[in-house]
Amino acid sequence: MSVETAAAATGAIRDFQDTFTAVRREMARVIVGHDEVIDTILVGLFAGGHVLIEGVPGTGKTLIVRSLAEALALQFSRIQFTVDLMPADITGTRVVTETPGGGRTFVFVPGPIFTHVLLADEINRATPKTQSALLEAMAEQQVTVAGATHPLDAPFFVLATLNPIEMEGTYQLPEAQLDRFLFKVLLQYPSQEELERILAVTTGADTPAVRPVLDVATAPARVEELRRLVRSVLVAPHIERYVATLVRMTQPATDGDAEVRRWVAYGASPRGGQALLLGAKVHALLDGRPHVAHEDVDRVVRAAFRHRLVLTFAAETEGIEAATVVERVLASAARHGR
Amino acid sequence: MSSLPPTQAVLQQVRAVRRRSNGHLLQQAAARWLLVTALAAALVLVAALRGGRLVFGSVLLLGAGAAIAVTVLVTRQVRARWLRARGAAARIDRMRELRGRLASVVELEGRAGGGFFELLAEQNVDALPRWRPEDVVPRLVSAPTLAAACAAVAALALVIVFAPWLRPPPARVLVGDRPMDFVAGDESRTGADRLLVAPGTEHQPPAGAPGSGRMRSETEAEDSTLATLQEWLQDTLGADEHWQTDDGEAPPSGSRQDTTGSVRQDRDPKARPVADARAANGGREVPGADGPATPRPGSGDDTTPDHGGAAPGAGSDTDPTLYGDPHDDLTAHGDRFELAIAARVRTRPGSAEARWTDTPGADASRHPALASGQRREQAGHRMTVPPTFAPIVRRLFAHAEPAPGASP
Repeated sequence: MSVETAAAATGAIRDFQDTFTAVRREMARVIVGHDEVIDTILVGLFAGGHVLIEGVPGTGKTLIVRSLAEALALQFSRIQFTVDLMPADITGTRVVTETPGGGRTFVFVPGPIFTHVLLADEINRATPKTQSALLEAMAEQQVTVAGATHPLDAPFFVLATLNPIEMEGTYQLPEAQLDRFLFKVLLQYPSQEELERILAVTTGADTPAVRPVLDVATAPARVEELRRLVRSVLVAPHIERYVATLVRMTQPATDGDAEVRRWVAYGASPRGGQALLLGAKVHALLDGRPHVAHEDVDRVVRAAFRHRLVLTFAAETEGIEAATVVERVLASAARHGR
Repeated sequence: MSSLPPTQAVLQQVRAVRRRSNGHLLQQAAARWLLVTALAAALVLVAALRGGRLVFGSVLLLGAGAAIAVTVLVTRQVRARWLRARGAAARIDRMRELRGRLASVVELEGRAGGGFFELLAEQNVDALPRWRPEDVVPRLVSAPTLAAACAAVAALALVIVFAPWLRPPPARVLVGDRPMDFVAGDESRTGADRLLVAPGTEHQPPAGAPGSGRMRSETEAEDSTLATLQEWLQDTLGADEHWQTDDGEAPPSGSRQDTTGSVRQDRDPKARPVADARAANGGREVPGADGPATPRPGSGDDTTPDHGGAAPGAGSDTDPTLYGDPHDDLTAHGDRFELAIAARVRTRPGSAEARWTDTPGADASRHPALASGQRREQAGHRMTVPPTFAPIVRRLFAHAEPAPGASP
């Protein structure tokens, strides 16, 4: 998709909006509620990142990911992380295979990570060694097995879930690995109306199904094309300054808000700033603009910073959550005229 | 506008808004500054014309403080709101809710290209009517501010115009004929007659006012400065109008010509208390007073040749050179001066307060005793007369017109 002219840019933006809206509409056929979560997941997908979903069991995490893959007509895999899961169970392994000539050779058998959309269910139940195998693939878009590097097909999109309850026997993700997720979304219990609709839709004779929006043969290329389009969105220096300011205001070593400094032990990293800008670019396109505005950044700052802030003991004792800190940072930035 | 490239049209309109905004800001600042300073100046002038030293000092202090404060505030406001080239687009963007469109195209001009930038430029061109300069910035300063500033200036103008009517009560010209042995000199010590012309008003502190000698001297210095400033303001605003004699005579016409001259600005305040004290003493010398002595050019070293004929000024008119050409010197740097004369000056018979009148002609048949005791007429000494006092002095010493039919 070439956007060399204004007309082409207008067409590309409209095409992006249409695709996004269509995927959103198809997912809404089977998922009741969770509009904001679905939007954030789609933004993360088109921004080229991975999304961490935290929610109690039975709230539709797996259904959301499966529906997304079906709507985009992409390959989908699911890995249920357990404490005995090994890295090779994710990346694949080499097995001895008999050749047609009677010889034997090692052949790489790809693991479930070789897919377009991967659901890493309850990622915190696996050991750190297994977690790191997945997280390396997320960052490098490739896996290395026995010295051989195997690139992953694009697009590669990981949706990992965390179960906030039943914490016994779990391995909390280290901050360095959390940082590799573009966004973190919280899946709440559905409201009364949503719950009634869920019950009506999922217990009937005809359960709705998701129809693919993209052509199966060209879907991966189309998604990659849309991702490139997102990266073409214009970002003016004043937006870059704003993003950098937001990131630095979360860091306790800087002259930011006094309360933020008291609550935060470690702030957002440069990856947090990249997440802000990429997510803001998607929102700009959805708004029909070829450039990023302040409100685009504000829309994604909660999802981008939520898992990147390490709070102090003082904050924990006061019941301060990361969301509170992010709101404080936004308010402080607004006071300083952005 | 259509002939310009899209980004150039946008940049041109940004510049127009910036010029207009800064112009409007300067208008507002000037109006506010004018409002306060004109009001303060008017109050200071009124206090200078009507108030006493304390009131004038207080109002002057408040007025100066207000002027300084408003200058600082206005300067800070202008600096804060000045639309600089760098931030103009961003501010317009925020003001008109353009969602970063304008700021982005201005900042990315020359740095970005491609279809997205072209689209951004086109969107900005479409949005140009939303932030036209005449819509973003009003043309004129706000009506209340302008009206208040105009009212303040009008008040100041009224004070200046009506200053002569706001003047303090007319000062008295004290004229006495008592001998005042003031000028150090052998001849004058024997009884030179002097005139004390003192149209100023002295504000003496209360007799029992507290304060040590040092504090008093400082206070006197401040009072002197304040007095000088106040009187300079009075003079500048037409203070000559109140330089009248007790008879309510009009001020000398010549004095108006020098109302702002250096003569009055170079007054020696130290010379005033003595003269004022004399003025308060009815023209008599004040014991212990040691004021500046007026030199008497004719006292001993008069080089004017005596030709033995009629003295200059003989006849019905005053000798125009009786006191020499009017000129200024250090002794006349004040609103009063002492005129030393050698000729006897007569007063109106029975007058308790020495008031000058035209010297009557000596009539030996009617007043033989007076005629016998009359001094021998001699020419008056020449001395310097400040230009502003010259008309008064000439009027004082003018020969009376002889009555019709009177014998010479």
